[in-house]
Amino acid sequence: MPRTDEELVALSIGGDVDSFNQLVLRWERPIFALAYRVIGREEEARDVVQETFLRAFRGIGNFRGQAKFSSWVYRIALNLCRDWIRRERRAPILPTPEGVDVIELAAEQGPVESIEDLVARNDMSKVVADLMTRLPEEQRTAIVLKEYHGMTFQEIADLQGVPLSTVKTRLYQGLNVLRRHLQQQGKYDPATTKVS
Amino acid sequence: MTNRHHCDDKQRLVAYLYGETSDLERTAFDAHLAGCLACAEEVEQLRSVRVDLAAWQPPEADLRFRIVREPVTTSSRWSVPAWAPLALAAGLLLALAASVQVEYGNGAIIVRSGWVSAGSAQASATRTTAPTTPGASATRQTASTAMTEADVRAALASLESRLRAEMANARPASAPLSAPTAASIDRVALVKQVEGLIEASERRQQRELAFRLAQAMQDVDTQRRSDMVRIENGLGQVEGLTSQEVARQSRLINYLMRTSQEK
Repeated sequence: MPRTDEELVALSIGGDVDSFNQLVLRWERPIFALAYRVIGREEEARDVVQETFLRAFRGIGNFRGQAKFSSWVYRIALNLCRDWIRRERRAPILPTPEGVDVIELAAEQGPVESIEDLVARNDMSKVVADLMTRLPEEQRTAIVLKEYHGMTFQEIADLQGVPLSTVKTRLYQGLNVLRRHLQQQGKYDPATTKVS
Repeated sequence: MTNRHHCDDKQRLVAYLYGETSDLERTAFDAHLAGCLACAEEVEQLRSVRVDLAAWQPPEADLRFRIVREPVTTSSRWSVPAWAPLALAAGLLLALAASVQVEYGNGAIIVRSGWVSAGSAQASATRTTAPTTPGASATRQTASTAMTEADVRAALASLESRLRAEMANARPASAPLSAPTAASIDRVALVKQVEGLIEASERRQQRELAFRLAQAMQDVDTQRRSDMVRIENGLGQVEGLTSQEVARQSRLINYLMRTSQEK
């Protein structure tokens, strides 16, 4: 029977490296997925994973179990992602102010590949990835945590350090921007309300 | 609760979308959606967005990140004390001061280590800058040796040929696997000789360092005692002056009292 995170954490605090490596094995893929979706680059996401677990290993002695181990490493990873985004201002993933209409912003950047062309290549994953990069970092992170990591509003609020209402607002604004963008690209037909 | 209230309450919409509402709230919102086409359309499209989001999968990364415990290094039997670097530096300085001679003159500089005797100076003298003109009289003012220029040149030529032979023997590519030759035996003897000289030098430096340290401690102790005597003398003088001043003031007070009583 596999050990729980709490048991592995207790063993790790006692100096058992193998137990910590079991935690790494258990959580490295979710952390990688989180970092990849937040910062959008595979290599950098891999670096974030390594740095996250290195920091966790160094700080495991101070981890008192006041939160879940997963929440703890998620927080470390998110902080690293935020640091990376701040450093990479020139990167395509730019944190847009929440008041800015990213649809109009994107339209000003010139013609983009149509949604039909991308879908024709059966690559909805790329479409979503591209659209997500246009969201402000806070909205993108909230959507990632909710959609791909199944967190509750409260867990996201704790991780992002904001009130519950702010999380809901970020989620709504982010989803709405994605909806409008997909609609503009012809993904949805607003006249019939049908989803293509 | 009006329909208009539901239309404006996007937080309630998000909670409904993700199923984080109470049963009562969900029922109320369902009722609202049944009568509000705009909200129903919005919810439907947002659900579709969520379906599209599910298509975004991260790449299959080969992570293989593991914490590895570093092998435990066996501690050295010889622990290095904190003062060791200082002692080493002091020893080197003493060695430099005591054992190395630097001679210069007419564009030539000769560095000579002290553990080589004057008689074998030609074996260890290293010319770092040679005279540029062949045959020029590179006369050097040396106090430590009486060798003539011809002797020095002969010694240098001998040293050069010997070094070339050593270098040729040391080349691994050209070094054949053969029985020890006279040159290799000579090299072994030379290495042993050098090691012996180094050991002797180290022993001498250690003795010199110990002597210097003892001398420095003795100097410090002497200076401390001298300072203590001076301080004691100073204190005595201050004490004496203070006593004299007190006595003078007592006499002055007595005089004033007598004078005032007489009046």
